[in-house]
Amino acid sequence: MLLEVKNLNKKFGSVTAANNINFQMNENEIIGVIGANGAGKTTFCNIITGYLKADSGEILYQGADITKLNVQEIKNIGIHRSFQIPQVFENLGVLENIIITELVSKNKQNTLFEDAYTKQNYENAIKLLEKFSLDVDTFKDKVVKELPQGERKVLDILIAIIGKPKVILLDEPTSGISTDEKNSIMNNILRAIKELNISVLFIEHDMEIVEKFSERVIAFYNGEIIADDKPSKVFNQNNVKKFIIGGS
Amino acid sequence: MRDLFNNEKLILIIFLFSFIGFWFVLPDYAINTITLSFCNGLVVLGLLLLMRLGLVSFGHGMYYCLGGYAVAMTYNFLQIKEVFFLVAFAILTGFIVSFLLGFFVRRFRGIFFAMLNLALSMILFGIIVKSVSLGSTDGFGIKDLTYLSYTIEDQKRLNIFSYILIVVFTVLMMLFVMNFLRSPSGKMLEAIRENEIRSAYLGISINKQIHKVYIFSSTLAALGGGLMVILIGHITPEDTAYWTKSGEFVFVAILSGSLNVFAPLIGSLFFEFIRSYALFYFPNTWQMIIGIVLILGILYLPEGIGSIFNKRKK
Ligand SMILES: Nc1ncnc2c1ncn2[C@@H]1O[C@H](COP(=O)(O)OP(=O)(O)OP(=O)(O)O)[C@@H](O)[C@H]1O
Ligand SMILES: [Mg+2]
Repeated sequence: MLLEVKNLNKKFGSVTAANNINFQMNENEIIGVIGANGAGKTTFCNIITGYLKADSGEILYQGADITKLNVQEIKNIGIHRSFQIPQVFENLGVLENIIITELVSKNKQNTLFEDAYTKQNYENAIKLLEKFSLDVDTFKDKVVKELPQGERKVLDILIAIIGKPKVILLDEPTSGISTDEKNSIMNNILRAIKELNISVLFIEHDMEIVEKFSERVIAFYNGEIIADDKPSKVFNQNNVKKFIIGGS
Repeated sequence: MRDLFNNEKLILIIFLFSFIGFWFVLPDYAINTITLSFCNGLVVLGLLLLMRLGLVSFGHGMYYCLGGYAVAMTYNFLQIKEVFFLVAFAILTGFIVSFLLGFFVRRFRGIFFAMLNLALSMILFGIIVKSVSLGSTDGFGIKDLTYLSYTIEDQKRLNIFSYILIVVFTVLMMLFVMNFLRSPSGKMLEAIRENEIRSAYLGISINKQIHKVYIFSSTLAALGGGLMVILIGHITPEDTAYWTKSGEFVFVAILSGSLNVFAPLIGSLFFEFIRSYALFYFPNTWQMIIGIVLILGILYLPEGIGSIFNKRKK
């Protein structure tokens, strides 16, 4: 087992954002996470990635207890994430965003006597764009703030896989992307991720996307996991129909 | 920054030799203004580093002052007349003080960072003004200097030795900053300025990087102050640590922009020449002229004087 969460609880004042959550993830799984607004999906991601500390409960990664590790330590052992609101360097170019990320992941943040933006580094960044099937010509000379929201999201995800994680948590990878593009973008992202043998957990509001791309779905309601099964089964479960599909 | 001048180093060499050449062709008052602009330009170069981080210091005059006093006091109290020692003391003082204060200021951003530095510089100003042993408001003067134990007979402060010393030191610092900004380490500044959440998640040690840049920046300012005393032969707290001087540095920094390392020097030259002309022709309204220049600069060169050099490819 890759990742295991046991009896996780988290309250914000009177709001219960995680209510006795138990969850397991195996290698190379693609899991979709559904739930209405405020159900606790992002909180779940934040706790796993160390941005929030749970009130109680345990998180195991490859059998080791990682509950007390901080954000960087969790990232270094191989659990990466993307952000619900893309966190990118707005005024820098797309390629520069990628290059800076690679430099840091190669531990070069204090390297002085070499150039950062070398031809080689640009070539590597372009290769990564290609891996995500992004149109290199339109991307390579753009500053991030000129990109539409959807493409910013893709960049945020692309940056998240630099450094070769084993698990990646995607917080609403297709929000803000038009319905026509969602499919192809998800296709490209997941293909690139699969090639690298990374397990994925993605939060998504669009049920069609969840149905199409996930092998397993977990449904959140009021901080609780109320369903955890194959997509077809979860979508037919009564409380899921009532609280999530009907409600969102 | 693919747009950045590909041949910055070549331009820097041309820059160096042009200014050395100017010694032989330009009149004394122009050379004097150039030299002073270079001393001040070093402080602005330091501010450029902070601006790359998205920070501004309203108190960089403090390090200018510290560098200057390091030279003046070493000269007067330790009787050291060797210029290279004096400059080393200025650098060391800037380094040590900014290293210590850095632990404190690195936690602040934006206006808090700017004002905290202002406050620190006013404290230094207060201490000097109140201390007779530090020369109080009169400051210190220095007299004849030796350059690698060669004593200058000519009593003029501005001579070919001091001129070349200042030009070469300035160009050397421009080269350091240029290389730093191109290095992986230098790119961390842009990352931090753009998005601290992402930078932290990438694993950039934000506070340490800010601290490092603060030291670099402050040491440049201290060097500028030290060279200024070697040039002018005198220092007072009023002309260095007082907030108006820091304000002037910020003014020039904004006018110059942070696109490249030439900008602070060109901006500083521009400012000093405008000031001396404006002072000469409009002695009572020269500040107004400077104000108009800044407005024009903001309107027509929003990225600063440096954008004259950086033709942006579209
Ligand atoms: N830092 C916080 N402080 C206080 N309350 C919080 C905090 N973060 C989340 N909450 C609350 O916890 C609950 C779960 O929030 P969470 O962001 O996990 O929901 P979500 O399922 O991601 O929703 P959405 O689909 O809108 O992104 C919400 O009621 C939210 O208001
Ligand atoms: Mg959320």
